[in-house]
Amino acid sequence: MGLLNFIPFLRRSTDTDLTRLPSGTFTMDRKGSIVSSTLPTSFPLAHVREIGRCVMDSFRAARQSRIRVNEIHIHYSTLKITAKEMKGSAVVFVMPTSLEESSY
Amino acid sequence: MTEGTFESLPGDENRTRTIFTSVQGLLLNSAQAFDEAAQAELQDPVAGARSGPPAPVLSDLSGYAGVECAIVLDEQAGVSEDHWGIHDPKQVADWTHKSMKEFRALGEKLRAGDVRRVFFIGWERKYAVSPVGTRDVCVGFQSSLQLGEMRDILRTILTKWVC
Repeated sequence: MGLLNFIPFLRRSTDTDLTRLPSGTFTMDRKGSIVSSTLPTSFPLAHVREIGRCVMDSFRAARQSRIRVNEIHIHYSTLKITAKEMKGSAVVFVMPTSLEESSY
Repeated sequence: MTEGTFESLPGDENRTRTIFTSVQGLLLNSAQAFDEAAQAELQDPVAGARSGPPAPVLSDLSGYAGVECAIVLDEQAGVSEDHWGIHDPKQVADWTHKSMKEFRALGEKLRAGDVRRVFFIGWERKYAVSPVGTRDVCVGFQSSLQLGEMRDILRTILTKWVC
């Protein structure tokens, strides 16, 4: 069985490893730094930062367009992200999409 | 009763007619009709006054309770294809396009799948954005509406309305 691992293109890539969908919360300060997080450590920190950057950018873009937005709900096929702005900082909730919600 | 007859009568002209569209919706529709009629006359004074521009499709959304405005964007270019009830469509189009582009890229990075819906909640208005084919449809709702109500109305609009 281990013989296949010697052939580079047949070796299983770590990129395709199955990972559990994250569920938890994190908070960010005004500068976009992560202050606290209850997300599992298996969920890469780079992804947490990227989620934070995206929601902060969207809040900023809304302000620039003179649209007042203080909460964003993003529904993906498998994941739901909710971000609430609190005087410049933000709290972000990440959770898997429930079966009921996925039908929308 | 198992059988009977009926006949079609002309409409009663004295009947009181009721308008179900909201006051805001009526005002916006009137303003848009005036604007477009004036624009058509400027472009072609003879033909413009006779034929007029095609009726805006999005104004039909004024019939839905709680719906205040809407805009349809090209997903790639982010250019507004049609809008209704929005004072400055370019601003809303830019913001919606930028946000949706970011969220799509985020979804790919997280391997979370496609963006199905995005809800933006504000004190003055709430927005729901949904991809439909190669377009993004952004619908603005009254701020008093709950998220569930917005979701139901949006679903009704998207199922009844073909982009």
